[in-house]
Amino acid sequence: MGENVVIIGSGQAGLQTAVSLRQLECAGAITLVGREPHLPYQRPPLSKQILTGEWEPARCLLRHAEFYAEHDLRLLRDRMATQLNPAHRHVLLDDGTTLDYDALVICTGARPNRLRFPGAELEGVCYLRTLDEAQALAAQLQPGAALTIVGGGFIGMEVAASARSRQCRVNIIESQPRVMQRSVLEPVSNFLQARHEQRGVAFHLQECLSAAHGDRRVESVSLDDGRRIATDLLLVAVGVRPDLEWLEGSGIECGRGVHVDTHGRTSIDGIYAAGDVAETLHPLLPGRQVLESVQNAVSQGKAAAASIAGRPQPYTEVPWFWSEQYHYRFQMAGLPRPDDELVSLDTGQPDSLCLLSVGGERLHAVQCINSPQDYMAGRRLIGLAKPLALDRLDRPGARLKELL
Amino acid sequence: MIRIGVTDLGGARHEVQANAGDRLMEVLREYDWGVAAICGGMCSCATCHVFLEQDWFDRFPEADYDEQDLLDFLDHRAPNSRLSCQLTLEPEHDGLQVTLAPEE
Repeated sequence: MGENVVIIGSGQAGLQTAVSLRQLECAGAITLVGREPHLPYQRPPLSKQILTGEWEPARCLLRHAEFYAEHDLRLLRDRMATQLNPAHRHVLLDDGTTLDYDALVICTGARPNRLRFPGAELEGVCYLRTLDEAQALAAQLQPGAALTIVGGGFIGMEVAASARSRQCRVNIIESQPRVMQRSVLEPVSNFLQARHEQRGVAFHLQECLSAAHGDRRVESVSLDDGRRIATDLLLVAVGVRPDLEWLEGSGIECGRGVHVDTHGRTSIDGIYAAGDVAETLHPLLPGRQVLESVQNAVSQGKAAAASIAGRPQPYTEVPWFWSEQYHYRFQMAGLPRPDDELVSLDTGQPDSLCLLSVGGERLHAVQCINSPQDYMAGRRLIGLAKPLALDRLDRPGARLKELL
Repeated sequence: MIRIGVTDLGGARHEVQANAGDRLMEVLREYDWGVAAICGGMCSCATCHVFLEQDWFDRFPEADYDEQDLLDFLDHRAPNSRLSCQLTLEPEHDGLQVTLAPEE
């Protein structure tokens, strides 16, 4: 195959697509277009090891610098696509250049939701998505500094844990009744919130930020109920949205993200999408889903590459995700559904948790804290999609893997 | 410099180099034929599974509880299985021989 492949976005999904194409012996030109000045890197450490200072930034790189030339991958950095023209099979970049393609892969990921509030422009108000942003935040996490985080999602919670390890004072403002509400089952929220509180993190649930105050730099924030919190830093971490704006007018079918099937194919022939930007069909999940995870970026990147290489291989892997906060390792697989029954299992270990989300005798999701064996068993069981004999777990010491 | 002999999934042999303090996974994921290591070394995914030759196996600290738990779930687990994200290389590992385990 001598196809000319252009990949817009050089994060986990974009890089995976390029690597998989070469592994599948696609010999054509491959161009990766990345918005950032850095070589492709992984994002999970940004809220953890980069903030705690455990890792040098270079350790986040997904491949060493020579890899790209060695594999004949053309990497354009500091470049953004601004327009897609499927009729002429080209994309326009922000520097005015045009790239022609035989196959195009959309891997532009997601951007943080921005909040509008008085004081949003003050110094010390920050977001966290890129390595530069992580390094800038890390430099300000000095012992005794006060950090206020708007948003008790995964990023907010992980940053809180990292900041506590650097002896910062931390407040979290969350508009929902519990933290990480969108993604995790209630006992997980309660478990992790309690562990944060034991370590001195203060939570303000069902509260909204109304303004940030300060002269040049943020000095305090106020909540809707009028309370004020003194702070040196304000991190806004209220979720992300797929980066789609540049696709406007292209005619490509989008919902929340770019619609793809299990082969990574979009509504337009020759155009594929993968990663945080894609809204995918999945044999184990209802409807279409935007799955924001490394695993999803890797799986979809592989599926898109396989389609381009003419060796289609659908994405059927059980979606999974993990988070680390202090020494708590949270792992989840599958997605809970609204009418599921929640089953809590005894893990046999102190300070841990295993939850099952079950509907119609099928296991839809497993969520574990410090119980990797139950998590692995659950992930397998979800993939098998067979009726679950839950009654067999109704005795002390029963383990989930017995159902495999 | 630590030299490592690696047998990939196709049976091909490679020699790679590492520095003391590197984790084996970080060395192996650099290569096309290397490990996937999706979770980046958090001992969360078991996609960096390798087999160590027995006399080398004994020259690393034992697997902890979390790693054992993940290994227990792998179809291709063998007595000399390890997750390469949990193996820190030291000068005495020069000459290490590893074989990559099949994807699950």
